Amino acid sequence: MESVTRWLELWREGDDAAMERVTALIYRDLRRLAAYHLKAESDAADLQATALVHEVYLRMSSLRSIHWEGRAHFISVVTKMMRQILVDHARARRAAKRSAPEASDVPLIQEHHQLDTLAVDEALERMNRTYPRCAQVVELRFFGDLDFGEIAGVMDISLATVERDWRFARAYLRKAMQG
Amino acid sequence: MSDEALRDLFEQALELSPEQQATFLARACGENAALRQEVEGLLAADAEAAKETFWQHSALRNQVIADGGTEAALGEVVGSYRLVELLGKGGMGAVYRAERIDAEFAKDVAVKLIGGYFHSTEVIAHFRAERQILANLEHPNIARLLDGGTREDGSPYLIMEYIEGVLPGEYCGKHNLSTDDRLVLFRQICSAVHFAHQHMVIHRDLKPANILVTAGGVPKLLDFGIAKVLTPDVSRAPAALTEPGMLRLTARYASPEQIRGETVTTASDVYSLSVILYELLTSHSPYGDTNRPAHQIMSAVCEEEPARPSTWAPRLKGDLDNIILRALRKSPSERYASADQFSEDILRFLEGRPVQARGEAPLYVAAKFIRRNRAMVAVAALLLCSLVIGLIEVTLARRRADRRFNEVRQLAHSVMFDYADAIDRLPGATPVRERLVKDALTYLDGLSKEADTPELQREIVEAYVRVSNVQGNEYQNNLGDTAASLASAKKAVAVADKLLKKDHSLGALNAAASAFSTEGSLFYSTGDLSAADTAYRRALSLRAEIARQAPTEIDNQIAMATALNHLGDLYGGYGFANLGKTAEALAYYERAKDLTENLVAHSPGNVEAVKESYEVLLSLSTSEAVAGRRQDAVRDLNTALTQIESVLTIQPRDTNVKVELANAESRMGQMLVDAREAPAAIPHVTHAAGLLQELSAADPENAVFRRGRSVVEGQWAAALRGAGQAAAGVAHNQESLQLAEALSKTSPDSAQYRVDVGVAERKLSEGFLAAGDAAAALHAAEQASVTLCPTEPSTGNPNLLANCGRAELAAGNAWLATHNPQVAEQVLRKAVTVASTQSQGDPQNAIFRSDAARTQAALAAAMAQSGDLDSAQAMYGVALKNWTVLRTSGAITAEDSHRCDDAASALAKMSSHR
Repeated sequence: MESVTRWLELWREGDDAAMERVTALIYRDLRRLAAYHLKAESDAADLQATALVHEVYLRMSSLRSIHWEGRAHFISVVTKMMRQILVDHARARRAAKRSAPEASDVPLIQEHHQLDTLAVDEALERMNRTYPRCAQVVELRFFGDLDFGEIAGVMDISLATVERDWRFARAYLRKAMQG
Repeated sequence: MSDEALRDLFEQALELSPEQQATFLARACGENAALRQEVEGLLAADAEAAKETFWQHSALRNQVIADGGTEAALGEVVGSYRLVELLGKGGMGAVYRAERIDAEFAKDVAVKLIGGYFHSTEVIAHFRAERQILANLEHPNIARLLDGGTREDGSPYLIMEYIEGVLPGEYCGKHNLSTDDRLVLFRQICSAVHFAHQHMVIHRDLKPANILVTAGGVPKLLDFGIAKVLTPDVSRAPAALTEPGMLRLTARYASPEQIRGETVTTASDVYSLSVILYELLTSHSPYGDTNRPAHQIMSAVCEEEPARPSTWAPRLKGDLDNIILRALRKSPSERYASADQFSEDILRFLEGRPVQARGEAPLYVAAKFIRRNRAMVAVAALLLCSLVIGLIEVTLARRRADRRFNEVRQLAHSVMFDYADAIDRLPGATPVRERLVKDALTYLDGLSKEADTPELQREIVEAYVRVSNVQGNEYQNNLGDTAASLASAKKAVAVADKLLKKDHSLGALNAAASAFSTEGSLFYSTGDLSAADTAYRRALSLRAEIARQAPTEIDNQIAMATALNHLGDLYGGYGFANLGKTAEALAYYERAKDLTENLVAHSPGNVEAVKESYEVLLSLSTSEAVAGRRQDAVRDLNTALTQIESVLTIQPRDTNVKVELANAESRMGQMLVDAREAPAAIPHVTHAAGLLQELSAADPENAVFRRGRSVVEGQWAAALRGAGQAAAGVAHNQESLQLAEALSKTSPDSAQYRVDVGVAERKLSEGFLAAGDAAAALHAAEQASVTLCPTEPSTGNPNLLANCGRAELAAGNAWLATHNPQVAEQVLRKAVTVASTQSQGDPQNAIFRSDAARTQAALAAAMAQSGDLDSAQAMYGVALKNWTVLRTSGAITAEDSHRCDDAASALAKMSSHR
């Protein structure tokens, strides 16, 4: 990751070639992240993951003006990107379902509540106003897919605090999503 | 409230047990109810979230799952199989093709896993239910369950037969199947669905995607993922099965009742089957454009009449139009009663025989019009009737062989059948009905003179039966004219006799049988019991003939059981006017029972069969109880109870079934009390009381429910008393009396309600006595005597006399308890005379004999108390003799047996003292 920071420094100073290096590195990391989950999935799922990562790549290009503060900041930025991509993606899926040509074949799921990315995103936005630290833990874990140890490192807080924040945040979000 | 305070409370509460939490929060939040609610909400959400796998995954992972991925990976091993190919994803899971790891058998299997973040306990319960269902369904057209188990993460899986095949539509297209071939294929699907129904399973999600046709042309039904089991014991266990929240279905194939969230029955599957057939034959959906949004399709399913299949494929015009549309009716009761009947009608079409669904569709539209435009109905009905009749007459005059004659005849026929049905459901339709009957009779009387073909005669028989029902069938809305109704039934029988000389086809036999049974029940209600006997028996022998010709015809077997049940009532049904031949009655009931037992065993999903079965069992068990065969009575009543409950799970809103259940529960309670098993009786009477209370709350004026409540409260009291809770019992006696008095007040002329009041007073007296309040017991018994005992010399009504005798017995017992043996003796002497006379008049009657013995023993006790030991000894002897008669014939109740032993020991004590 040090290398990413260094390339980012170069990039910020105007070296456009550095951007290629950074994105290649990020691409590799995100790809690894997706593959970790997808194991040996079917081709279709693989394609979706690839497309997802491509979106991350495209977004990176518009990040020129951001002032980088090293690794922690970088991870949180990437996490925010991931979050944005996933929310857009979920929104597109929902719209597609609504106007799908075989609409009559869509299962009519009458659930009491809907646990989905969009709902978490909205609830998280509200949570950020009263419990910003908890919200960040959730963002890193849920959208950034960091484990508790990594989160503790990035945020520079204790592991116990991360775990407590997560437990509280999970209840808070779950409750918010129900109502 | 500070945000930090909220969080602190949440975290502190997490450390505590649920009980401690409540105390803790009450103390910590004090007056602040909002804060407390907030914390409790968080704790509940925490518990919820802990159960959901959603929170264990990242958003990316959840999204990939939601997009269609699953948690299992190809190559993963489940049980002894390795997943090699994703076959498809369903609402809750994914299905893989898999091969055996040890490759011992080359045959592939299908493995079904719960997918994604739907790992809730509800879904798992559902999945388990599917396994249970499939384990019972072995049929050549249903994909077989091979095995099942649980994965490491606790989620269940199913191993199923792997079907290599294509969707039905694709198969038909590829092999260019003719309409007939498609129908033959479709009938196999019907047979699978019918098989499931016979095993009390409703599929609920029939659609082409759940059917695969093998290369050999065998269709296989897959995926019972949302199937519902009808038997009470299975459906009760996972509550999730019936929860609307679990409802997943495909709008285009779902029945209107499914979309509206109403009760789903076997008729819902019949509907979905019909949509499948429609698409298979026309390549179009009944609801046109399937690309419409789901909500539009849903409203079309509920509201729009489907286009006739021949709109798309003119070759389907006629019978197939009618068959498919009949199965597509919006109202479940108007569809084919079973997948089997649907399939049978298709077979009739294939064999070129007349189908049942013939020519009904236009009338269905008419009936629908009537329901929607009630105000216009009277006028329209009159117009239509005279129009049709007029047409008939004109056409008759012209040429009877004319093809148009047949068409018009069919229309007229249907008007009388379907139209009368539609009118039946309308309030204030009586004048229309009268006019309809009058016109119909004119038409029929005219037609029957000219009728010389069996087919026409059969229709006339059916029509007269129909008219007779409208005129005076007790079980339907009717004009209350029994005499006219009987006259029509006699006409039906006359034509049926003519018909039977020429024609013994199933249709003719069926028509004739219903004519005779209608005539029989009308003779019965006019009190002509021997004529009823003849008619019922002719109906029965015709039913038997049908059964020989068509041994699998379920409706006929049900009708046969009904005929036997009627004969049982006629010969000696308890509570009916009867011929007084208990032994014959029992024999008829038992034959009916054999029949329905067999029927239910072979088609357990047939609700009508189950209903007939429990009705027979209720009659039988009552007669068995009267004859003193208590064990048989309890056994049959128990079976009836189970069956009623199973019907209630399918038709939970059916008031009649609820009444039957309350009735059966109350009888069971009474039997157990009589058997001195009062604690066991309590749940039964409590259930009966609850049901009646519910029914009464929904329909407060209904006298049957109110009367039932009073009776059951009395039984409840007896059960509590028997269980040693005499004081609690008295409260129920009082409730029973209040209910009876209220009912009697609303109908002061009813002798029956007066008797109910008296009986409640007498039972209250017994309650007080058991609770040790002799003075109150005496007061209540005196009141009962006033209410029940005639001031004039007896009118000869045995029931009333028996009730008077029991009131005096209660009074005598109360006088004894208040230490007034002389008065007791006086009262009891009178009672003994009444009871002995009654018992001698009807020596087979176990209840009267028991009354006599109890009264005699009470008199003996009174004599002993006042010192007249000789008389006491003699009287005890008489009582013991009566009880011995009951004991020898096995007709003694446990309660009486106990009393008998008490009397014997009292007698023995007396003898030893002297």
